Amino acid sequence: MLDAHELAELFSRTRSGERRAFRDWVEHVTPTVYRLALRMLRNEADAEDVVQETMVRAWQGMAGLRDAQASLSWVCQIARNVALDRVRGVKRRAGMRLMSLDGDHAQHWAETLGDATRSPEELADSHEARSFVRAVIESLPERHRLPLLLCELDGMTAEEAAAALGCPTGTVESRLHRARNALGKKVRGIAAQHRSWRWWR
Amino acid sequence: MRPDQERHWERVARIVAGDGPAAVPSDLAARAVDAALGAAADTTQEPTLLGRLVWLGTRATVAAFGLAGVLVIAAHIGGPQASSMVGRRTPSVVATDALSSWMHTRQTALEQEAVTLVSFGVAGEQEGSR
Repeated sequence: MLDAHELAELFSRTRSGERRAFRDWVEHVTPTVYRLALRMLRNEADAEDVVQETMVRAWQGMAGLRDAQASLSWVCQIARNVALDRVRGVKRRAGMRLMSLDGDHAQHWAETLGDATRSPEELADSHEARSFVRAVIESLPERHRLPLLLCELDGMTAEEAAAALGCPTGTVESRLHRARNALGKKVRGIAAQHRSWRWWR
Repeated sequence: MRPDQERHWERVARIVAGDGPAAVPSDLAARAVDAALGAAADTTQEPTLLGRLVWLGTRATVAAFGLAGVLVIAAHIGGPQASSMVGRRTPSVVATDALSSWMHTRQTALEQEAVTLVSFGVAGEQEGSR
């Protein structure tokens, strides 16, 4: 794993036309670009296409970037633009299968999550529990969903997520905090709905 | 976040993390590099159809009329339009002017030569008739 200074050094060599350096630079930034595209588009094949298109544009336009330190956020900016073009072009392709939040399953898992007798490890082993949590996350607005997925699922630091999303680190941290609150509120809301529904029946 | 909410979140976060980070296809970076360098090679080695036609047309014209002919044709096609668009003398206009100036000079010299010859001829005839 390269630090910011080494990445900048690599990018400077890339900019001077060194192909070996370009390969190393792409190798290093690809995971971040791919995960960003995947979280935006929710489809592996589309995300792979975005990575390729992004690197084509990066190779063609790297002379325009003056600050080599900003190469990661610059390439992520390109990836976001490419991904947004795709989102506009293909409104929603068959992506991941998500649990419906209105179904009995979702309500069951919303209650189970709040059950202190079940350990998180036990729940994490359950495909359905994970599927429910993913469905709740997917229902969040993008400004909350993306930081949450990049940091909690993909294990990015707030700084890396900030570079990927093109916003300050503080903004990522505050959105992450709000996203967690929104997620908890949503889960509690589904569980409460279930309780009132049972009472009503 | 309240402590009970924090604990709740911790539980949720550990479940989410159970999915793990998205696996990046092992050959994705290599494919992206090939696509980037391949696209660059395409743009440098493969001219467009229009580019090919212009190049072939230019070669054919040069073969037929020589470089001066190409300059005159290019100047006649692009010169007036370009100069009116840009509002100043373009290289093709300069080339046209230079060429027409040279032709004018040459023509003038030929005319003078002809006048001289004719006048000599007339003078010779008059000499002979005396």
